[in-house]
Amino acid sequence: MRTDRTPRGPDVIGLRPTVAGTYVFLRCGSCEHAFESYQPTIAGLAVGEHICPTCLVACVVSPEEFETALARYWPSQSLDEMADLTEEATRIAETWHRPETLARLLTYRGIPLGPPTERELLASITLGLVAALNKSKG
Amino acid sequence: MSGSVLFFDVFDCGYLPLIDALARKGFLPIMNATSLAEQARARGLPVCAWQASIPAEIIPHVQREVDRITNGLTGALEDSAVRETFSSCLGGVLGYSGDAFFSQLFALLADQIAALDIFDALTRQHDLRLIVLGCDNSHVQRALVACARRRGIPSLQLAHGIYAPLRVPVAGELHRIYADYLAAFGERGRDILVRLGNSPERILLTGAPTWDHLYAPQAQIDRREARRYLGLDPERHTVLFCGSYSDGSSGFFLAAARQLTAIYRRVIGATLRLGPDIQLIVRPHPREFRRVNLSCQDRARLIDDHINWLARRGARDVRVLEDHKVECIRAADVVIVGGPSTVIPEAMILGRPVVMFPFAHQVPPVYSNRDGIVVVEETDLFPEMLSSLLGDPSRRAGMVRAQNAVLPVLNHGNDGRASERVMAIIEDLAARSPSRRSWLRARGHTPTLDLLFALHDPLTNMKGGTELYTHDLARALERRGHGVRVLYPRYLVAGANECWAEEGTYQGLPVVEVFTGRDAVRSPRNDAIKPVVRRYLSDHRPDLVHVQHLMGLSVSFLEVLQELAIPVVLTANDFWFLCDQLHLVNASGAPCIGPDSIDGCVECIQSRVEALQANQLARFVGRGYLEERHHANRAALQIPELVLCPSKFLLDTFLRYGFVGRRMVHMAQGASLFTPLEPQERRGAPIVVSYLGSICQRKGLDILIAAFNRIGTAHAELRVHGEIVEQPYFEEALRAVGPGKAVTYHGGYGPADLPSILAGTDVAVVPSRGENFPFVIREILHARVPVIAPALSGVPEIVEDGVNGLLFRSNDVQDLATKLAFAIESPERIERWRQGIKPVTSIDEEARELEQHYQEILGLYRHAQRHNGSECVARAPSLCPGSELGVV
Repeated sequence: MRTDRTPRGPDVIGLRPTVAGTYVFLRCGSCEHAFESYQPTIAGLAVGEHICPTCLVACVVSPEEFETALARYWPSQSLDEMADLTEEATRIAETWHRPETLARLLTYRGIPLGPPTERELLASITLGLVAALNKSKG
Repeated sequence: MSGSVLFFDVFDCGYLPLIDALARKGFLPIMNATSLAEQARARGLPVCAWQASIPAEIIPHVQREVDRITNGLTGALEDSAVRETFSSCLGGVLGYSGDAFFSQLFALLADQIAALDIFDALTRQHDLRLIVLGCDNSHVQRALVACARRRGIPSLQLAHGIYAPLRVPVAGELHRIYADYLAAFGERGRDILVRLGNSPERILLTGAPTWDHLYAPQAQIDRREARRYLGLDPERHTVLFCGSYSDGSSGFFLAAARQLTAIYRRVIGATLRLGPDIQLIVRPHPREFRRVNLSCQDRARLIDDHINWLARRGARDVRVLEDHKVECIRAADVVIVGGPSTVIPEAMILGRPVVMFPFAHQVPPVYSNRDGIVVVEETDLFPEMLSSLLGDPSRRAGMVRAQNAVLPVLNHGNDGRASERVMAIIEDLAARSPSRRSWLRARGHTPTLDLLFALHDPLTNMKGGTELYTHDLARALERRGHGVRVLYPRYLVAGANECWAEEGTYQGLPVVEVFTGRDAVRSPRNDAIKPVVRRYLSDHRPDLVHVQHLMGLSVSFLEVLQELAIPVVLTANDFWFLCDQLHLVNASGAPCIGPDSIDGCVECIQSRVEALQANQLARFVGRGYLEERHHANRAALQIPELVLCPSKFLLDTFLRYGFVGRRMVHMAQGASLFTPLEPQERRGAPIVVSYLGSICQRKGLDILIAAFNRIGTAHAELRVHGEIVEQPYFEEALRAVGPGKAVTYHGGYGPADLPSILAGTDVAVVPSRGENFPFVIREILHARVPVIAPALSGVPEIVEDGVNGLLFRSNDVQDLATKLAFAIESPERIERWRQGIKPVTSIDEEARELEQHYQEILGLYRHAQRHNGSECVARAPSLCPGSELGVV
């Protein structure tokens, strides 16, 4: 239950795209608590409030702030670079579970459980590559 | 009751008529979508809930399994080979997102394990005939499909749109069909998926059941009436904008996010410029904020906040509507979409002109101007374009006419009867007897099969040609939608009496390892495996067994298959049936023409006696052994329905010596074809001669080195690529390299290395002493590199002398030297041979041909079952005893 209906600008300190949409990392403008929250959108524009789980203050990420966070926390790349990133993430998603030790471990009643995870795990693999890319670019 | 059909992740209420029709035909729908299930029950339909099959102890059980995996992962990650799989040229992924990765992985594993347990319970409680999947390719769906396939339960995926390809494929995305079949909306969607590598036989054109209601008269609401219904001014122009969102499923996330927000802002800007005459309806994508489980009040407040945000930017006359899709579309003068949305064909069906902003990262585009829509190429001109369109009713009418012409390829039938077509497929797939899958057969669709491959060695021995081929063929058949398992013997110490079977996986391929004593390798019979194989195949009966090699399994394995009436296809990958050392090469290394006499074979084996253990000497050397061996193998060849001979030479040899099957055909094998690289530009550089293959006496590297020594090689170098199998042989061969000769060893190679090795090769030499239908030669030719190879066995069926390479007399150093010199002296000749290379048959082409053989054999089996009762051995009409052999 919110304690303060008045929207306050939080600090957006990160974001995590997933298959389901984007989660934003926020630092509450009231209590400085850092938390993660799903970012609803309408036609791609950020909407809605995020409730700080500590102080229950509502905070809003405006469409402009969301777009600024996208630019800050995701590397600026050409389409070819995005394609390379996607290819590399796909390669890892499709192969990490193939070494025999892992394949045996991830088999349940004869059903391999590794391959079906490819699509859902791609996002976190991509995030890892993005973090590596950002670090390499300094 | 006709059995049960599981509808998994089928959420759209547009499928209710389908579920209704299915229930009326006596099938019991089982559903995991609680909302849709409630709606079905409200109609009085007997629906069962997936959740009703949840086992009592599932939570602790799943937790134990996840803990087992977690504990095992800790140890596995200490393996550098495992860590290597996460590495990238950008750095190790685990270092940056390892916590998030594993946290999510465990959750995904728990989901799958729980689903498999529930599925297991459900199949015990119900006569489950079919799984129908909502289109998602989720981890749970894929696991269920794999499990269902093993139980012989087919799966049908319902498309939810037309897949829009990205610039590069994305792991697990909808470009790949994992279910047995896909009910696709139309030809456009099918053609895209086929171009992306899916088998057309698995894609069934049905139209979109969720669009059927758009064809109903009630959907053709008058424009003004629709506006009134939505609370809009019936007289003012109305623009509908259907938005979307960017998900994190690819590296194009940022491009998509930016494009989407830019598109929305452009639409707002354009409608503002058009003034107060324009009403704007904005439809969010259904998934945008429904995922957050917001209450209706919270969603309403979100929309209010958004409208206020729009108003602060001057856009005051905007409605944000997530429901009433038909009314929204019918109210609009123009429907604007960002990207190749499903709304496009919906708007077409409802007779409204469409304007689409393309996505730069989706190529090739699914829609174009040829579809009657307007594709916004110049975004700066969009306001003028929109204004012009709204002011020109005849142009809009022309767009609708053009869109109507295209609809049949987007929505098969274009008649609102997609649910009927899907129903017919479901009914057919859910039929118990394969012979009732008449609808599919009539349309040329091949039911998927549960296949078992059997060979002599573990797949982990991927240096062996037969092992590699078997693995690649299994994958090719999997791509065609079939389930494939691979069975092979694993050898215990010699003299061991135990025998058992274990299931496992190899690189995701299900395998069955039959542990048996090492004596089985050279025993004419291995009856010890019979009880184990009989038990396994009785519990896990395949549709058909394809034997790739019988060594270690022996005729005993085939006898079990015959006893269980499981049809068999056998490929003679080498000369094992009639040659104890497999390759028809005598002790001196010269080719052997065949088992002319038992004594000749005894001498050949005795000359290799030092390779045998002393306790094997009496058993495996001598007339008695060979007579028994030949008798057993001749009997073995009588069991398969079909024996495939990769080369005509092998077929002729088998026939000549009386090793005859009921039906033997020559069928050249395909090869896994890589994408060749462009040949390296090496003007003036030495001619590069390459050797590719294992390094052992049979493969003849010594012959090549001796030949290379004899010719002038000032402008040539010899590069040796391959794993060393016989170290002393390799060392001796290297010592034989003449002074000043440029011979270099480049180590072993894997399939991924072939393109670069062959791009740097002018001519390859395969100097083998014994072969059948060598894969390596075909791989080399596929890279457009000519080959010099011996004229033995099936090689002349691949290498045409003077056309795509040269042939030399087998085991003849001087003749090889002559041919090598002929090639090196004239690079123009090499280029001419390069031009003479014909396309190589791919493994996928072979899989398609094999599939036809399998189906033919299974058809004969079914025919025999129907007419002969308990006698299930089907024989082709030409194969009555005493008749011709049926050899092709």
